[in-house]
Amino acid sequence: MDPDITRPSLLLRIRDSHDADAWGQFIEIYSPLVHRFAIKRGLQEADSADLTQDVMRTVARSIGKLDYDPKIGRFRGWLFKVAHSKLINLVNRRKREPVGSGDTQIGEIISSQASTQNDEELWNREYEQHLFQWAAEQVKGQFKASTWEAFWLSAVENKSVKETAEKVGISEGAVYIAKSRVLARLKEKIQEVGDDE
Amino acid sequence: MKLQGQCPSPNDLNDLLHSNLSGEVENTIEAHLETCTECQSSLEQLAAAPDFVEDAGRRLRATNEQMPSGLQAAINQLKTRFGHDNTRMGALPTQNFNLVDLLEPTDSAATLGRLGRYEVIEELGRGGMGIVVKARDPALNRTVAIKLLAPFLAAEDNARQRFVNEGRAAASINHVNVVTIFDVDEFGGIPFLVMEIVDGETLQQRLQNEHQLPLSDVVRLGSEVAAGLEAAHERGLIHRDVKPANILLESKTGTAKLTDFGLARATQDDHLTRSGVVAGTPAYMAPEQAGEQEVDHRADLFSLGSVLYAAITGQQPFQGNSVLAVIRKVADQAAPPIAELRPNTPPPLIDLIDSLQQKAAEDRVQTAREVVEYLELALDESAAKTQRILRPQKNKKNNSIVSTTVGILAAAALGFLTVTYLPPLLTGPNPGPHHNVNNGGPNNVGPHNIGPHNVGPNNVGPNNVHQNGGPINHNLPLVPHSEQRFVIKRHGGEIGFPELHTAIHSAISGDTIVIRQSGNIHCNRVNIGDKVLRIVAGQGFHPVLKHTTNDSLFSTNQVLVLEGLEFDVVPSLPPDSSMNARRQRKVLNCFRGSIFATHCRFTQRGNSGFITTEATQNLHIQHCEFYASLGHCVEWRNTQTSARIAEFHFDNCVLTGESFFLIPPIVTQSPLDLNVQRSAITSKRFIQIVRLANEPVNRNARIRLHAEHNVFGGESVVAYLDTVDHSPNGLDKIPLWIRGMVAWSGDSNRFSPKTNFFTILPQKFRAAGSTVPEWSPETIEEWSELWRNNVSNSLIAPNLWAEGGKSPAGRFAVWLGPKDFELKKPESNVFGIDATLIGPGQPYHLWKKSPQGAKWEQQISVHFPR
Repeated sequence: MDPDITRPSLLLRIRDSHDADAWGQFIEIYSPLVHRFAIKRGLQEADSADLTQDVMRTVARSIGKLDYDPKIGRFRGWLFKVAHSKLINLVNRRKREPVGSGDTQIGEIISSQASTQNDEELWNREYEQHLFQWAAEQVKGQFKASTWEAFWLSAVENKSVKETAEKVGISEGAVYIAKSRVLARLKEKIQEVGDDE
Repeated sequence: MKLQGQCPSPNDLNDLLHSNLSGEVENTIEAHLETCTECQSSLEQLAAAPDFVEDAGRRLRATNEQMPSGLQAAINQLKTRFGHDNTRMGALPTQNFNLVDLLEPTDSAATLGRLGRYEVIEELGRGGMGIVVKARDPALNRTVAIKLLAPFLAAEDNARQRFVNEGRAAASINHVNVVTIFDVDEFGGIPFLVMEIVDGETLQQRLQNEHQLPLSDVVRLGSEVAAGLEAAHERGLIHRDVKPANILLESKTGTAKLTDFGLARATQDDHLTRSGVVAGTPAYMAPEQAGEQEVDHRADLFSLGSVLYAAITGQQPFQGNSVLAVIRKVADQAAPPIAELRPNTPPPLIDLIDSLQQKAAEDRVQTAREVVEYLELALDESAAKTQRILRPQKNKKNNSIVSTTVGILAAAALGFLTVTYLPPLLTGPNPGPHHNVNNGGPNNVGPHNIGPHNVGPNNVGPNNVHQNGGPINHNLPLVPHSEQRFVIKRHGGEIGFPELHTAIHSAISGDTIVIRQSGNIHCNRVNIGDKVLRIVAGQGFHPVLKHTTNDSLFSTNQVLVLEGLEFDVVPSLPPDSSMNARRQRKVLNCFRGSIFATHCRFTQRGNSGFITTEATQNLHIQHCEFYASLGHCVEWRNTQTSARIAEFHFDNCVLTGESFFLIPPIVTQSPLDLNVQRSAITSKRFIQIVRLANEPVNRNARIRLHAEHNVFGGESVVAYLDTVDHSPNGLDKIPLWIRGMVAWSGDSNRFSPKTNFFTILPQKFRAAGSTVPEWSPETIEEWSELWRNNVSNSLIAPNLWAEGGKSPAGRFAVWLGPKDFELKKPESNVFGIDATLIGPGQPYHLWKKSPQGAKWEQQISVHFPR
């Protein structure tokens, strides 16, 4: 029995604004992305937090209507555009307002065209990295410590199977099994919360 | 039990991956993996692709930047604002809690923990509403599956109570096709269900691997799932979530077992559907489930239909990019026809699925029991009873099963065909023994009786016309032989043939040939000769007869009836060859006979015509589509002088193309009655509705052209009168001259020419290099004046073209929708076509030409609906 298949994806679940569980995950995965993006672009902490919340609000509002065509782009691409445009808006707003001490200094904002593309690439890279790390955290608890260690040594630190087996104290066959099980579970988890449709 | 040294099978490896093996077996494989490099890499491949592994390694290795303190605070705050954090039980979100923490610890290394008396071996997966684990029941010494309700749901009394209740109700079902629930219990405030563990895969997984299942498996699957549903419905339980993922297939026996009964409701009502969104994929749910309506057991039947659809075709019946898109399709649209996705599917099975997938519950087969009986009988091959089971639904209004067959018959029978003429083949079901002889034999045609033909041996007297007709015969084994694609039907039976032309050759006069194959069909040229013949597409099938040879595909001297067929003419020479060089390639040739075509489609991309006639008596074309990049629809030629009036009807047809001749060039010595009604005729360049050829015979032509409720659109709508020698010398005499040859009457037409409204152009003037004579009528009024009759209710509307340019060479409309052809004047006077009836595929959409307007031969592609 494989209930994994019946599991709705995260992006689907957050359409329900009352799904606290799904939203919790979503926030954990995506808000650091937005936050870091804002900081890198020169925003102060407070502004970044505001931006992140604003983006989340937009997601909550739009996700139900979001009929985006996966062929055109993935969720992360859409999210980037939202974050980026909100950043621009914020910058423009600041230009018109008197600058306070804690506010973002205009001069620090980089908003050239060229850097936007780099930004998106960086965004995607960060997203993937963060996604994997988050998924690993989730999945880790489902395995015995020895299993996890075997996986980590062999798949992440690229130690040889022999070395891994010795370190962990299990057979080499067991290393293969452990590694494969964890990878399979990791793959499923990422499919569930990621935006590849 | 594997011998040491032997490689485990891929299934075993998969089981290993999902911890489905006993400890012993696992140890054996573990030992095997020590040394067998093949299996090592097999296992790795099974787990994840090498790319993924590499990505994973890399990304997990990367050191994370220190999380800014502000961020964590922001995250926490966001969590309280989005989603309603339920802290009544210190509720742990499903995804984030550690299963091991929930359980009582054990010493055993083999188990993760204890849940009451059960020893949890491992987690099998997590769903939106709960966690499923594999466990061992030491009291009964068996392995079980345990489903725990997600803690955050367990905290809500409603959800919890419902989970328990549904679980108890489901536990009362004891049936081989339902996963048995052994126990309903609670631990630490969290309710859980203990159920039988099924060794096997879900139907979902099997479909992912195999896409389309063998038909016998589908039938068996259907009857087993239906039996499971019957057991539940008897107890008043509705599953509500029948889908491939909830159907387990036991490895050893292949038996189907339904699982997750009613649980969808337990968790859905408050939580996951509050915002009106259905959790999980709605691809298999019934239309009433998406709305607010009452849902009863018939919703499960709809879902069953969708599951069977998926098993047969390999794809979901309703697909979309988002939950909302899918829900919309489930509610509004029909699924793509099964016969096209899998051509040899037996019609009775298609009928069943159609019946199950009716949008309105009352139109479906009403009970699971009937489905079981139907399928069991199908397996038994004594299928006479199956007709009876489906028939009660057939009689309901608007039921699709009956409408197609009757609709075609009705259309042909009622339409414009003169009332008394009903060729024997088109009578309704159950003709009486003498029916066709008295009513419809070829001797009794219409007001213009066709006498016995003088051509060739006369074998068409009433004695030689066989009975036929009658309902589609379901007395067939459910899985037909693939050779029976072309079937001759006569009263009392059928004979199948592997090729269409052999079927036609073997047919005798009066037969019907049913084509039960969709897609391209190759057929050699056949001279049907003197056989009265009817060739139709079988119900649910979309045959496309490709025509690649020169000369016509079918020639007939008698009556030929065509229904639901598509003809595609493929040019032999490049399109820029001169018109003369290109061989004329026709589809149908009718010499002295009659052709009745309904719900057909004719397409060609070269310069050819579709139908040539000579001394033909009747041509009745109804609900047909013609697309031609160049060339004509009908070539009418009658060199025999006769007093008998030939009749030609176009009714509810669409003709589009680069340029189009409806009936040029006419060569006729006999009177011709042309009726064009409720049709849409448009072309990029010109339309020549009537073109009298420059032949001496036409001196005495009498052509009656009546056009009513049509839409004509083209660069100009032209009636060419191409006679040189006998055209008058003076411009003012032309109207008289024209009226001597062609009698026009018309009503309620819409003309949308880009240049001239209607041109009558004696060739003499054209050859002289002059422009259009001034008297060519530009307005309806002038047109009326020419014909001395009052052309009422017609109008010229120059704005038909969506993006028309002003120049004569201008652009064809980029997009013409059916709406452009269905126009209403304020007085509710309807012009143009009923798009829903046209062609073999419905609904009808017009083709779209490339907006670049480049050379047509590269750009024009025909998109006709499937």
